[in-house]
Amino acid sequence: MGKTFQKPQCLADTITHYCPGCTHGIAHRLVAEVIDELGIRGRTVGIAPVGCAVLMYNYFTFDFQEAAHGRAPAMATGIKRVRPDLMVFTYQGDGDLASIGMGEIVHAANRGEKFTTIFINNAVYGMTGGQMAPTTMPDQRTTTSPFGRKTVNTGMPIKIAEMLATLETPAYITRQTLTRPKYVKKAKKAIKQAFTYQMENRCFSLVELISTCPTNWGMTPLDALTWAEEKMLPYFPLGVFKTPEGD
Amino acid sequence: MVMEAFPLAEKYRNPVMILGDGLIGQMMEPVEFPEHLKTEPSNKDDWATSGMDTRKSNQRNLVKTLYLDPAELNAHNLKLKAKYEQMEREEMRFEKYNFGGDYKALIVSYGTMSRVCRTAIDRLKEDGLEVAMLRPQFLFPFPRPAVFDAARKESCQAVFSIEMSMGQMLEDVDRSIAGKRPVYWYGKCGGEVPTPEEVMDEVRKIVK
Repeated sequence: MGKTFQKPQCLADTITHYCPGCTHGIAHRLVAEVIDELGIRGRTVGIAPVGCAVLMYNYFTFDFQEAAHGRAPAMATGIKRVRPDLMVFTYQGDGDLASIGMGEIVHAANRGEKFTTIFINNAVYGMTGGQMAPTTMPDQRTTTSPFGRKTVNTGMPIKIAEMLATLETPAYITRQTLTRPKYVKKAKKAIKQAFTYQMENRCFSLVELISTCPTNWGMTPLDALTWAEEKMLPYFPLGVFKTPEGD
Repeated sequence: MVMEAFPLAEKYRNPVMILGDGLIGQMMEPVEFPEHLKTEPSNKDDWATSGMDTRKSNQRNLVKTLYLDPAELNAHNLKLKAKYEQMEREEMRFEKYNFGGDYKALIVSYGTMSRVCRTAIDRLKEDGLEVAMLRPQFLFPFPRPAVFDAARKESCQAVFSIEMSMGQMLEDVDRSIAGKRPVYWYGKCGGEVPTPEEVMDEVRKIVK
């Protein structure tokens, strides 16, 4: 009997710095599995964000670059345009992508840059200490909204997937989550679809992943998964918001 | 010079900043482009993230600036320092004008302003006043030894930093001369270009 389960070739054999219960580990694994399965490791370049995943290049085994905060889409644009044969992806959190990097992602999507973005939405700034993010839920307590996010002066959480889906430029935009095995399987399918569209040189692709941050949410990993499902999913519904076919 | 920026950027893996001004920005004169310009970085297999398939070795490349370990960061900074020192050794670029005679003043000026200074120097020469000019073509690395040597010439009484700015080069000139000669600044901003007459007046105020 052969091996039925093993570490993806794309993942380094090392210990990560992520907190217990953090869903970055699952997201990393899914990306690694997809790249393995598509056989593109030798021509893939990842762009690390600023945030918890800044050190992600230590956990993957292919070429990587590190971008300035929020500027991963600009870097990906440069690499992909110079070397269209490469498979380029950015991996960004909500503080990186939806705040300081908002302009970058909107214009990259609108230009139809042929790279893939994995967008980790855990409703909070992780690495910097649990500050409020553009995706923080109403009344959610963070270190900069200790009495809960007041929407009267901070507005409502930004729905990145829906917003990007309004752009006329063809794209693949979907939102998935990592809270249960069945969702993890769907998320992997979406990531594979996103990379496939890139391989076919079809369109920009973005997979938003509703994720958890037990440490900054002040919850156990299990409670965090429940909170994400109960509080985030009703506001951030799962689904495919746009495909290049236009459906 | 814009063309030279690219091979330099590739050689040092360092951004090269091209300084322009309003006249260059609005391209007021004809521009000649060379027929062929292609730059290819050397040793790119060692660092470029062009995909592992492009390399014979199984090494993966990583382009990053984050070093969390202080010793590692210190080592990285020493590497950068060595690179800047190499630039100082190999990339100082300047042009000398009217260095032949016993000049009484030295003008340091760059860009569009240096052309105005050239006219001023020609006219001062007709009046019997010899002035030399050192025109830095690269502002970093600044040609400090050349400015120092030129200013120390016995006949030279004063040095002028003449710029279309509020003296952004003055500190470099001052530092190069290390107190050996008095240094004066003259300049204008906002798109006004000092005339040769103004430059001549400035020089004459100090040097008789």
